[in-house]
Amino acid sequence: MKGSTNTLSVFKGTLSVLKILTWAIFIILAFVLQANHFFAVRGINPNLILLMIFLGVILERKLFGFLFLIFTVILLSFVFLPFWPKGIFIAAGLGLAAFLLKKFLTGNVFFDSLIVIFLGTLGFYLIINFHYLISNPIAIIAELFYNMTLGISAIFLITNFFYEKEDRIKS
Amino acid sequence: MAKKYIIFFLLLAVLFLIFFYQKNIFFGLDKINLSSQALTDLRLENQGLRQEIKVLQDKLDLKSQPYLTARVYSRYPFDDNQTLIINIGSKDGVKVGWPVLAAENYLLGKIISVKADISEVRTIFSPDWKSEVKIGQGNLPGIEAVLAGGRQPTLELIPADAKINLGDEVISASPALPLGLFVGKISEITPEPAASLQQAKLRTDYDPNKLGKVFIISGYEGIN
Repeated sequence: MKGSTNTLSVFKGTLSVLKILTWAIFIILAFVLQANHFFAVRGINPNLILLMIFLGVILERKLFGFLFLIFTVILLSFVFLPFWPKGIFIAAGLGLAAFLLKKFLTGNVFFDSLIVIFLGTLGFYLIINFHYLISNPIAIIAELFYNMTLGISAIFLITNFFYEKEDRIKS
Repeated sequence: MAKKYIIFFLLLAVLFLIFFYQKNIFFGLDKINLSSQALTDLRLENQGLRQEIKVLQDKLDLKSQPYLTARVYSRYPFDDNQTLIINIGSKDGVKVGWPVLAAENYLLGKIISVKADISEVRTIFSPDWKSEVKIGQGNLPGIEAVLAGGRQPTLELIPADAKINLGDEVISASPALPLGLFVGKISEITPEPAASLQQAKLRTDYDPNKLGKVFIISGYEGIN
């Protein structure tokens, strides 16, 4: 980080009320849309919960803040998706691994988002259902494209509206 | 700054477009402008289908099968599977393996796990689904095939010399399910990599993502 002009305006600090509120709204929205298959196009449903976790990987600088986000996701999964905890725990685990390894990324918000979403989506299906990964490559490619498009759009929106200036996230 | 707002509103517009697309609000408008001739044709087709259903019901004697009705209140959220959670469980006597229907005689899947108040249903749209079926037109379907689940279920291992046509009906022929449940119709035929076989895609008349209620054939004991 180079100075105060490059710091985040909304995501500044570790646990400001505004930040908690913003994340809570985004996570609840992701759960509602995911549970209702809201963005499903021709049966391809983007993994919004995974996307939300990876946005946290990219945008959160402090481990404590990211753990809080993961905890919120797990807590809300008992409300919105109580029957499928496995997927949520896998997504949370992948997010945590990505957060701990993000120092090895490029430092560019957009490239890092694409890398993390690409590897994260593949990793998610590799763990949760390996058979699906090898038997439905077209569906996987479609979902990868969909996830990356939504992820990059969200990052673009956030960096344009909540950041004072696009900057490296790597701390 | 104006550029940012334009981009924001464009993204918002895309979101609304997807929402209305899902609700078939924009894209269903053309269906309102049906001519009176088309309406007459549809009424006639409807009457024909009702008659056909009645004949099939009498033939299969499924009226005598006891049904349990259940509401769908959750669907698997990710893409690698297509299972449903329904609101009845062991308290209602539900058992693993019981067939689940989307409508009367329309096979949807079967119960794979049961808890006190809920049960999980694996549908024919799940990649893990495999069952024997028969293909045919009219009252004597006879070509055997394997139904492989997926976003669009496919019929596999059909002999290359078997004469199948688009629109042919597919019925269940697995010992794990009642014989003769309607599964769907053939929508596309393609040769399989093995030259002696062909495969086909299956079309169902319902959208599995919009099911609010399902029916369970209770007391069925098949060979799983």
